[in-house]
Amino acid sequence: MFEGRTRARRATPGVCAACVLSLALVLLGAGCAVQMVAAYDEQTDKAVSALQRKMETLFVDLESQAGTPQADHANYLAFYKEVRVDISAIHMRARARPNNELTVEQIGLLRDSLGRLEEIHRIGITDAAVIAPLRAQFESAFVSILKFEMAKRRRFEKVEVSE
Amino acid sequence: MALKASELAKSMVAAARGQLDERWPELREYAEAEAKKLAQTLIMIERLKRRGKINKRQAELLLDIQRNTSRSVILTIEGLGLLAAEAAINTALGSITDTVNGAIGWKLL
Repeated sequence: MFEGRTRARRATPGVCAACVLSLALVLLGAGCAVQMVAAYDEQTDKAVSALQRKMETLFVDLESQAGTPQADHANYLAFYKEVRVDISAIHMRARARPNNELTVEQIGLLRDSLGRLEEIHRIGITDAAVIAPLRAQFESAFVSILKFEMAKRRRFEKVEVSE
Repeated sequence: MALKASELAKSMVAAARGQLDERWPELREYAEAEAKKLAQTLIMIERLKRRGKINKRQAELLLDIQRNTSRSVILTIEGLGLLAAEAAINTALGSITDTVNGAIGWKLL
């Protein structure tokens, strides 16, 4: 009877044993250190920062041109094409890195937002006040991506210090 | 009746708090910040609409961008949580390295 109880108690830890085994396999595969998130990528960091500067240039231009023919979407076709290519390159690089799904999704969301911004622009920006909420949204999106990328970098700085 | 940002944000935070339950203390700062941003966007849309400077489709697109941004912020929070978990596991592993390697006789960990 006592033995039976012991077996029953061990049934639940059996599930945990599977978890421990999985963790052990992860540890062995990762050279004994767990890596759940991709390593910091300087190129992604720089490319996203450069893209943020390009977008800010657009917002500054549109703020001063809103309501004039200069602000027409037709005058910004080359800009949107260039930014789409930039985002596509960042997205592709992010997808090529292991454990980088969160950043990949963030870049995908940024691409979607750019498409929607372009549609707003195509309909027409007739007042500079339209730019404020757009700028705030894009700034937050860029900050969220860069904040995560910097956190990835800090992790490795800590490892270097402890070694 | 004109919208008020503070009241909108307060309502959204109260609703989010009910949903987040136990994770509220951890996510409060982000939830409040996102609610405030969303309220400001809605106020701006209302003002622009009154002045005839934005149409319905543009307002919808602006809200879509807002949703994308909020999602991006949530993904960063998720990522920071994963990094914290990763650091905890590696610290735990580091604490037993000498013991395990010494007992086995190989530099296994």
